[in-house]
Amino acid sequence: MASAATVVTGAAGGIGSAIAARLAGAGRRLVLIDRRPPELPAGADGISLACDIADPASVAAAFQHIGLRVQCIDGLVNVAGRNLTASIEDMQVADWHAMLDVNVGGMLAIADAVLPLMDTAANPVIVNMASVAGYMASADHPAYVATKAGVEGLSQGLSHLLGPRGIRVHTVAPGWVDTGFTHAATASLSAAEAEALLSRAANQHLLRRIARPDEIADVVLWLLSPKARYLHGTTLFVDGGLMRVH
Amino acid sequence: MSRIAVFGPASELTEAIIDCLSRQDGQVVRVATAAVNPLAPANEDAIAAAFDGLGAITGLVCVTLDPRSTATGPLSWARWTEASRGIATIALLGLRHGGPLVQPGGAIVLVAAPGPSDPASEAAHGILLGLSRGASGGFAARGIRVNRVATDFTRNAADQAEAVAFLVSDAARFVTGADIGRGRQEER
Ligand SMILES: NC(=O)c1ccc[n+]([C@@H]2O[C@H](COP(=O)([O-])OP(=O)(O)OC[C@H]3O[C@@H](n4cnc5c(N)ncnc54)[C@H](O)[C@@H]3O)[C@@H](O)[C@H]2O)c1
Repeated sequence: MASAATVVTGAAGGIGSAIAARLAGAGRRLVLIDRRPPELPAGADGISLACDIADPASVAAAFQHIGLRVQCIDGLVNVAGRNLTASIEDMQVADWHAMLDVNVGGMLAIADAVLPLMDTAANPVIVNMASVAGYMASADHPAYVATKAGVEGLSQGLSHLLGPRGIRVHTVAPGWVDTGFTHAATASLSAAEAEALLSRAANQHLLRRIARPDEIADVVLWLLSPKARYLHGTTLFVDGGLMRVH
Repeated sequence: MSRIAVFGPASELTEAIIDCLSRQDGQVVRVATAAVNPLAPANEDAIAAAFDGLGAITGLVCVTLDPRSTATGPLSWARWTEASRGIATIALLGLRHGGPLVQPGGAIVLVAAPGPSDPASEAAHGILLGLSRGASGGFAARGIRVNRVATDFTRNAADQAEAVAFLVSDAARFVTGADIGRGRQEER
């Protein structure tokens, strides 16, 4: 029997690709998903697919394909996510729904698609990517805050549903991470303003720097491993102490 | 003198909140409940019209409701759509159209009626919580508080209504971005 595979969504992004690289390094088989097929890490075993996680037809098609290649999935890392800069007053309802459907509904849809393939896994685990932002007030990004808090609610609901089946569910909440996602937030700023923002961001963390993506990936890898086998339904802050400052 | 608008679909909780607030001083206004159909919450024009002409208010209560239909599987997309729209989108539209009417020093409370407890609804309740946290930032700039009351910390609508009444009252004048209750529901 072929070995079990681990699914990573958002695997073309900063955090997702770092997780894929760590998983490949640990010899895991990969199923990588993003809007465009992500690159498989060099030497990795697995498949890579384009899929819009917020489109049920796209998810169904992707998993029809995955089912032909993979008999067992032992890990799901729901990383794909997006941001929206808009106040409550200015936000378009369609944009709000897109935020809900990618950041939360997409995680639910992928979990639903993965579950039938998890039944035979020895150590099945789901990890959902939230953010410290889900705990904070924000005039500019209320939809991001709302959906990231929603991820924790989703994990809570899944932990109740799946715990009795032996499937562990976790939430990981990073602080600022050095990825394209963070740089997009500075894209409209002058170099000096961007520098000032990033330095303020660094100082929000007790460790006085923002995270590298591999620092999130290492924690995810540990949660997926049997070493974390009695951890269930928890939210792990990987935030250099940011939540202790706020 | 307080003037509190209660916005949301017809529900036992909506009635309990109006009841509870009516026992206090001040005016309670029901904002056209019929305009809020949890199954078609994107019906934004009707919601905007319901707030039209309401004038200044000191408090806004947004009641939301997960309209669970039995035909949907617990992890299906249909289930996700109804739970997220029924709870989170209704709250967004209430905030958007009712929020600007709230005067400085006023308060907003988001609350969900008791309902099913499955991953879709837990996620939607989480979004409601996050929306109150997130929105508390923008509204604070206008001196307005935003809080959430969770569904399950008590087992009936009357007790939930008491928590709502507390959060819109002056006794809670330094409470914002907060949450009363844990969010899980009795039908687990
Ligand atoms: N970078 C940070 O500071 C930070 C902090 C906390 C949490 N997070 C969260 O971590 C996750 C990854 O962030 P990142 O920094 O790697 O961002 P990123 O933008 O580099 O990666 C996100 C990836 O998700 C993919 N994606 C978006 N919508 C999708 C869809 N509908 N279907 C499939 N894929 C989709 C994008 O194509 C992208 O590759 C996100 O959920 C984000 O909210 C990021």
